[in-house]
Amino acid sequence: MRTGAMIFLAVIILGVFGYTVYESETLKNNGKTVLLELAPIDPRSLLQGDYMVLGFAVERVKKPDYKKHNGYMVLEENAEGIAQFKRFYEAGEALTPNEYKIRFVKKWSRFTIRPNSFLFQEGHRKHYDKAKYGIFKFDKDQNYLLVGLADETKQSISPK
Amino acid sequence: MTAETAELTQSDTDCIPEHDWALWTYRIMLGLGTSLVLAGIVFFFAYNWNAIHPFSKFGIVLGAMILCLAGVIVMKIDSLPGKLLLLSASVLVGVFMAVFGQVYQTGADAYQLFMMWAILTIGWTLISKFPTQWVFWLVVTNTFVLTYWYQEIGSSFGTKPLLYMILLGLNGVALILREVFLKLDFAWLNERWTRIIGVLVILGISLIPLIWYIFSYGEFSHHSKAPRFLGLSALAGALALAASLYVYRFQIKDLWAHAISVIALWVVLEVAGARFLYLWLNAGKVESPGFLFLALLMTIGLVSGLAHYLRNLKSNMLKGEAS
Repeated sequence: MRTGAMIFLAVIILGVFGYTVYESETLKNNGKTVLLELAPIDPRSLLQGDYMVLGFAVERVKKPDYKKHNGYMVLEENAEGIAQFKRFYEAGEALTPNEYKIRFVKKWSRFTIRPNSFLFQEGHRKHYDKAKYGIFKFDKDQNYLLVGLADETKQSISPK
Repeated sequence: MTAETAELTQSDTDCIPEHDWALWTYRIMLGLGTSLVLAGIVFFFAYNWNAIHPFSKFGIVLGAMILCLAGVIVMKIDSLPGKLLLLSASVLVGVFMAVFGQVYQTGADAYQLFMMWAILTIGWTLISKFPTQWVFWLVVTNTFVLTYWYQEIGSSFGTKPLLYMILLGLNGVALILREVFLKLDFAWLNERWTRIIGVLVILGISLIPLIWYIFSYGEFSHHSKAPRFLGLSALAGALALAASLYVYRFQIKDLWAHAISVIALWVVLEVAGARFLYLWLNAGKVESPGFLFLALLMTIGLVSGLAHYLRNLKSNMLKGEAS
């Protein structure tokens, strides 16, 4: 009986894993590419592997007052294809095709975009030192993934 | 392996040796082996190999997980190897999500990872009948609470005492359930080390707001306000300490658990006494000889008193008062 339950639970776990991988792959492959300018913060390392802490330019531009601790900001691409802060997102509002909404957390007066870290292979930090943009993929429902970092020529950095 | 031990390991259908020393060695080796293999897997994937395609990484972790589950079926879920294999599968669920986080950049140490880990493994934990599996699950869940707190609520809320209350509630409920279900004859729960760990964790969490409160007593009236929930949190800690002292003395007689509670009580009394002396002498100078002398006297008194109490209690329990 318990073994049966264990197998049933395993099927659920595998189903959740399969679904999330499928969803993420779809977003990665079919999503619209959006660049966000980085504001550098020193890389750090943890047990989980090397990563760098990312700061984004849109976190630092002057913004209207915001009372809550987290929410979404609406970004819009400028002529160079770099996303800029436009306004804070109001629940239910419609976005134009080149607007994107991205999640943030506000601590004291500091805004942090989620995700704010980029994980890479141990020792690959030197490749990412020249990173200038974060490459995001957005789908129609405003789900997004950080898929890589780009240098000043907007080329994705891929260490060999 | 000698012929004798070879016979030993095969004599029993569960492959469990009969001699105490052999059983002990067998369990230690099994436990150590399992943890080292799992640590190796965790560190291997923490390297974040670029050369391995993400799907291969997923495949390796899931393959290992399925092998563990197959092992549970072969070894039977009630045997120690079966339980350890189910625990390994539960750990691999977390490894999978760590690799997922690397591949799709969902954020380093994100609380979602620990939250999903706890949710996905609660089912296996419920059916495991294995205290170690529960300890694992509680570690994951506590990590979720901590990462959630620091990432989503954090300093902006400015109410850390609330965090201690949440952790105290989580671990307190777990320990209470352990004791209640043990009374209800869930024999597999009867592993004493889980009680000791539970008491240590709960008293550790209780002491933080208690000591914080005592040290800041009298400080907040003039300039600043006390952090929100500090008083409440200290009260919860005091109640937990009192409950632990009482329960393990009178309800469930456990000298170890009671002694740990007595030591925690000593810490609180010592801190409170020192704080009182400090305010009373009101020199504002810790180095005043009077303060040091009185604090020393108090420490000697408290330590010898509590040691005397514990020694008496032990001999009473040995005389048969204890069950």
